[in-house]
Amino acid sequence: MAIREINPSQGIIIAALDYRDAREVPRPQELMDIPVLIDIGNFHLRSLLEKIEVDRAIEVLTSSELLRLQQYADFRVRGLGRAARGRTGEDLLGEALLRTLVGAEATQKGRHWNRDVDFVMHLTGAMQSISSSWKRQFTDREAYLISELPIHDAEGQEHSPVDNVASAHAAADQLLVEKDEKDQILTIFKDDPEATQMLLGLLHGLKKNELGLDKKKCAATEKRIRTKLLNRRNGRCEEHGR
Amino acid sequence: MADKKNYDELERIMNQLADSVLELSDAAILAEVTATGADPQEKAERTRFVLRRSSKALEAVNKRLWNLGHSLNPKGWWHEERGYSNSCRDCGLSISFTTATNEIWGNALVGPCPESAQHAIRKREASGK
Repeated sequence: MAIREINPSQGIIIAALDYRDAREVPRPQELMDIPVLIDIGNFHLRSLLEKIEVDRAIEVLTSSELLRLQQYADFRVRGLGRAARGRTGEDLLGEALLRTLVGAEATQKGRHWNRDVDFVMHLTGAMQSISSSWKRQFTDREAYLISELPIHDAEGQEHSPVDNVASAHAAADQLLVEKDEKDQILTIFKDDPEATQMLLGLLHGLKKNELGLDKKKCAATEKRIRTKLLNRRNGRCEEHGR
Repeated sequence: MADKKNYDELERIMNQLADSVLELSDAAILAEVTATGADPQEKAERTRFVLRRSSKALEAVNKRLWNLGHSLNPKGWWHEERGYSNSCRDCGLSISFTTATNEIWGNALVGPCPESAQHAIRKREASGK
């Protein structure tokens, strides 16, 4: 208890190797949340230590590292389109952490955190893998929900692609293509030739050094795109209370 | 098909933007967030909260099962469509949870672990109490 008073976040494990059941280990109520180790013959100790290490790694993340994780997660989920199935960047980040905790031993079940790898890089790698698996699991044949149909124009006004549709109008999938976020993004940057050049290049699978923009211009353009998209997302999130 | 192509293209742009975030310096990312009108400190702490929440969710499930006398293999979790699942090492009853809705379900929650109770009785009998 004295250790807790000095440093409340200090990771502690109680070793009670004479007991066969952790519930039988006598301890004050205030220490009931501390994990009890009754067997060092299996990987129980390792698992407890890894949980403590992960919790410590979370606590020492700097503001910029946390912001990087959050933006990385948001962009990855946004890239999933409908395959995100309502999930957010926070869901993706939470999932990455959970897989780290449950997968510390068996790599095929989760994401083993190799301590030689920076924790941010580990989590971004996990997020990359999870978002790719979400995409794979998604089938394009799933029905569209009506709530997924509204589209936003460059001014942020919401419309439904079926608002002005007569019965003999264009095919449904054509309308759905119109709502696609890709088109919205191009519309947002229609007055920014460098951003349009970059976006079109990326759409065609070009690498950054193949876009015809020098390094400085490339970084500045990328920044404008990021900031504008984040601004729009923030605005929309506030509207929806998330 | 056209729809799939659009989404693949969208994914390419967004993944590039995600990767570009990792290349930013500390000062640059703080400045960018500030430029969007948000408070970087507040956003950063929100992200830390998300990570802590995931860690606590697993802790809560483990605690609840432990209180019922179940013994889980901490590395025995497997991932399914709805969430994560595991089973008691003693009685084999199953448990699942998801952080998406903070839901916990499974027959291990029905009551105390039957095998664990048997173990306690046997232990009491052996010690003569």
